[in-house]
Amino acid sequence: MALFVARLVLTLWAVLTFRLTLGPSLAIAGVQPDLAAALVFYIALARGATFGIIGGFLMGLLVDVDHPLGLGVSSLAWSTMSLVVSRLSEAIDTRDPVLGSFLLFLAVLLAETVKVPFIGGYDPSRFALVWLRWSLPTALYTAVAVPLLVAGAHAVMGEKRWLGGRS
Amino acid sequence: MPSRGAAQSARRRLVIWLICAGLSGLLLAMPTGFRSAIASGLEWSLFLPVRAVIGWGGRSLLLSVQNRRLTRELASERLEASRLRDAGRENQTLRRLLGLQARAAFDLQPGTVVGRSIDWRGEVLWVRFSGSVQPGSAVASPDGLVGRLARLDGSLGLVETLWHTRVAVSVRNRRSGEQGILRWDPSRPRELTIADIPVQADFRPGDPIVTSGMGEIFPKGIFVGTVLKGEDDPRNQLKLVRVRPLVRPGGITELVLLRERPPEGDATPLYPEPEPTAPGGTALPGEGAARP
Repeated sequence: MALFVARLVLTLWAVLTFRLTLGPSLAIAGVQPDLAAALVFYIALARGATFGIIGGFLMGLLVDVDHPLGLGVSSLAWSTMSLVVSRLSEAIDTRDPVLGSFLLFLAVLLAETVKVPFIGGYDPSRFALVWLRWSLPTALYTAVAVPLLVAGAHAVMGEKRWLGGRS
Repeated sequence: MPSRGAAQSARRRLVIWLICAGLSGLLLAMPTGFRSAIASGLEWSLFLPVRAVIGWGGRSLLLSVQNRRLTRELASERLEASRLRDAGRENQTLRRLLGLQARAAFDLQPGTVVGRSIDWRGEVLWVRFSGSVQPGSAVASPDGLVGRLARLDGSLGLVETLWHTRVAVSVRNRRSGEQGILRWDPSRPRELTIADIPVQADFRPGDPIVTSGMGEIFPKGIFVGTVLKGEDDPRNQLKLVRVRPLVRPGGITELVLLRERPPEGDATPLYPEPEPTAPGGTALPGEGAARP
């Protein structure tokens, strides 16, 4: 457990640092991979629903603290994502990289979709456009970039299950 | 048929999710002031270790390293600025001797962009200004209007750009004189929109859009962009005008903070504003000449 916490803190540090530094440089047309959502996704996969939901809620608060106007949006999105991910992971073999990436895509898309009403300023006419312009590309970019990043990290460190897990 | 243990587990995670979702909804339903207070409380209590080790926004560890480098650069910039001030004083002396008067309508406070990020309502810039500045002032680049200084965090200013949903600018069509409120619509990230204008309003592709001077933030006559096209607003019987901004979102490195200055002496503008033409009139000479 201590090793898991140490690794989680290290990963959290890397993710938050990425958001501040490399993230904006890697943005394509303003869209960047959502590593924080991906971290919540992997926590939910590795440690199960309870840990994932609470972790998603806390991680969301941590990210939203920087933008108090949206406090609660990411917590709601990521705790919902964890609930669904833990449920879907029972039916899907997440060790398969393609299926794992697809599940990540679905999870991030769900989280981004939850955020749409708040980003779109509660104007229903904008929802579809915001979803197509921001949510879908973010989910796609995350589902492509994060598995590559994780595979790269595994190759460098020789560590198959960085955050542990049931698989 | 699921076992009793599996059903209990499913019920438990649903309850946990309901608690988390309820707390999130409660936070979202709170007034902005409460939310800011809670965010600040969380920052200094539950997330204090994270803040201490990593930090975020303008207080992050990485940014503090970057700040040290920028401080060194700032010292050399200040030296250069003092040279320029001397040159400016000399210039003023010469102008007085030659009988020339000041014509610029703004005091300009230069600033350098040190960070760029996207919050959940749009794009913001972290800018280091070389002197004392006041939040709420307009910010422009050599190309045109950029946004407004929303708040100060130490020596850094947070500029909400035109691509931020909190920024609304009262603008005027420089050719026809038609006015409207310009905002960013997240669904059209590269354009700005003037909504809710009458269908007969005279906006044509290529028309220059400038600030109207209404309100207390944006001074009059700063270029914002050009009209792309006008279209009917599907939500009502009014018209939408799409505007292409002159400033490119990712390409801003140098900025100036604008503070309106009362005219002194012969305040004849260097580039006189043309009179608006009647609908159907031709373009006036001098279009596109005035820049902040």
